[in-house]
Amino acid sequence: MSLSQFLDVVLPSDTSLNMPSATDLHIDKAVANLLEPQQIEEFLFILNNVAQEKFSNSLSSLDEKSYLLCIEKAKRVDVYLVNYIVQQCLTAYYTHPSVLTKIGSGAVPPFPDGNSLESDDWLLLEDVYERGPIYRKVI
Amino acid sequence: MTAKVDIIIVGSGASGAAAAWRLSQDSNLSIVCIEQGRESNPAQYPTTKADWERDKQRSASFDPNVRANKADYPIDNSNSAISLANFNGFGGSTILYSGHFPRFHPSDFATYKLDKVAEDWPFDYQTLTPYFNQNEEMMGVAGLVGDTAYPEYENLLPPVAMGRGAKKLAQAFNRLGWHWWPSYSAINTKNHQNRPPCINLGPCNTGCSQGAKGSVDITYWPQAKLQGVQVMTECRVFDIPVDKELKATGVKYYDKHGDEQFLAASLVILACSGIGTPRLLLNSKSELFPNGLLNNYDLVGRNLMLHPLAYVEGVFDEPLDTSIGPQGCSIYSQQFYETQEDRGFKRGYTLHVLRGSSAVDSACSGYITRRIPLGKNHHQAFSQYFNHNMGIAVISEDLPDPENRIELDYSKTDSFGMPGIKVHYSLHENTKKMLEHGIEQTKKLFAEAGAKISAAHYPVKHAGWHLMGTTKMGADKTNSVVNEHGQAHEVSNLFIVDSSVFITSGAVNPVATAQALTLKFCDHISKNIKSWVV
Ligand SMILES: Cc1cc2nc3c(=O)[nH]c(=O)nc-3n(C[C@H](O)[C@H](O)[C@H](O)COP(=O)(O)OP(=O)(O)OC[C@H]3O[C@@H](n4cnc5c(N)ncnc54)[C@H](O)[C@@H]3O)c2cc1C
Repeated sequence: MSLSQFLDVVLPSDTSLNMPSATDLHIDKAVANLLEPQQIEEFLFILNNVAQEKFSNSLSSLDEKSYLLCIEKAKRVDVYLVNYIVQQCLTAYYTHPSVLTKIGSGAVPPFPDGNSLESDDWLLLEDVYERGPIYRKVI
Repeated sequence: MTAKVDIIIVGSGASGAAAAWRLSQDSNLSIVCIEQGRESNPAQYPTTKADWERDKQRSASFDPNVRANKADYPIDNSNSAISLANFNGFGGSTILYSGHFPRFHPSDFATYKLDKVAEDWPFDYQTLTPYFNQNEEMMGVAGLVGDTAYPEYENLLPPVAMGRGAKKLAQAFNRLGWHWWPSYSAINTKNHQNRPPCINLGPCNTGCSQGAKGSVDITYWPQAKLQGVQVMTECRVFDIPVDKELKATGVKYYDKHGDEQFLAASLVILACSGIGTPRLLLNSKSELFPNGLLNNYDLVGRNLMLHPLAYVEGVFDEPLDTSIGPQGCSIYSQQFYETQEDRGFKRGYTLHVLRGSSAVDSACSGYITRRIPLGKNHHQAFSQYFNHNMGIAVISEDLPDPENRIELDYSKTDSFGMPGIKVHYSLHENTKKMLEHGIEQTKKLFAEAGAKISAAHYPVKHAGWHLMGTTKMGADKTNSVVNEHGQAHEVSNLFIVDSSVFITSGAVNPVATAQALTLKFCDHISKNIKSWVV
């Protein structure tokens, strides 16, 4: 079981939303840069153990539902490590320029143009204005 | 380096910069600012890269324990309901701040007179008004005149665009008959003071690479340097020696090589922040001040006020591009700012509308709260959350309490061996009631706007970024550290000009008031400079 197989399960592609999988984007390499090799090893070791204990099977042969259940159970062994690794995977995926473009996060750095916001109708403030001052005077 | 200068300012953040600018208007004075951190290069801010959110978790984190830069000092938050946040570098915490820039209100200066809580300030809102105006001109503050929650404002740039999410909330505020107004924002919305307007990049809290956010490295400092102030970065002041006449003789500091140095001065001005200033004073022990400088009445480090926050998040059904635009600046409400006895608590709070969370924050918080699953349903759930969510921070007035304090922590030291700090802080019953009330009202608002609540909690653990009260101002030296001019009661050539001197905290972000106060104090120093500098 490798990190990229793990990523395949947790961040697969979604064709209806035109979202690539983490593996399509080689996110495993970015994740590896964010983590120590021992952390990844330790994490996969815990996951594999949970799979053996819970399903008497290797992680790679589990269906998605059972796999995700293993991640949940792995939190009972080391919640800090599991959450940390998952969050680093999400970070690597959601900082990829092509993902940022597809989810509509606006201009992607280095920000040549920035983003525009529609101009506001400040007449909306009429109601507030008409109610008059609300600050407390100190006399 | 000259053996003696007229004025040393310690700290280059919000208050140190304003002090440097104001005092250097007298070109006869030699002024040196000593800053423990480095100068940042906006061209290398995280937001110049697509993966800026990674740096937010490390090098640009607002938690100094996470950043652990050479300039940072350890903070032990284990006995505190709230963890402290700051930035130690040239420009101080304004490098990372959101730029939300409301002033204190008139009632904030008279909480005892009005509500029989805490103590009154020795001056009122009117006295500070010229300094508020001057500061807003220097910092570049956007907003809209006519706000019913304040007396008149001057010098505002056009307001920051509120965005479609805030517009929904504004309409809901109107339907409920509640106050709201465009936020006062230290963000250029047109060219101002040689700085360009904001182009809605969004992530203000890792440093503004565009230069539109008014952080003091690009507002006050360029002018202060032109006026002759010399800045020594990567130098940490660790002691302020005092002679037998109770005069500060200058400062002792470690230079960038770690070598101990002394610089003499006629006047010493502290602007190291609400935690850095008491830390330096507590570390400056001598025969005359065995418990730390100015601490013979055990006041230094006490009365720490932090503005505990509640956070409520709502998710709209339709996409509203909520992640786009300056994160902490769109609209705000003062509907619940002033005391109303039937609410069951004294004083009040601000509703500070925040834009939606960024991509990584959305994904990670969605995972932790189980709102966004992993696996094949992930993208669908993410797409219904990201750019649909808005947050509201309830900023509560924090009443002073001597038990809320910082002390030196000798078990953890900084890169030069100076002790870190330990924080002792808990929430008052009054604050808890206020935050619970704020959460209920905010839920009502989101419901009125048609959003579903996705989070509601208090206190926000990592939000200790408003640091106030630790060397309080007052008339009586047994009950305060400095007088109404920021001058130490016991050492007449030592001034404190940052938010450490706040007597009460108000319930708005502090920089507008802290800098106005700095300008007021420095006006006094400047007019009386001959008392200290011959
Ligand atoms: C993430 C974040 C968001 C914020 N958002 C807002 C906002 O929207 N609006 C608002 O009003 N406020 C906001 N704040 C708070 C605001 O930034 C601070 O209140 C303000 O910067 C405090 O000014 P200061 O001059 O007292 O301290 P700082 O700006 O922190 O500057 C103090 C400087 O002193 C230096 N220093 C300390 N000790 C020593 C020493 N011994 N020797 C040499 N140098 C020393 C430090 O390195 C630092 O650079 C925010 C803060 C953070 C961290």
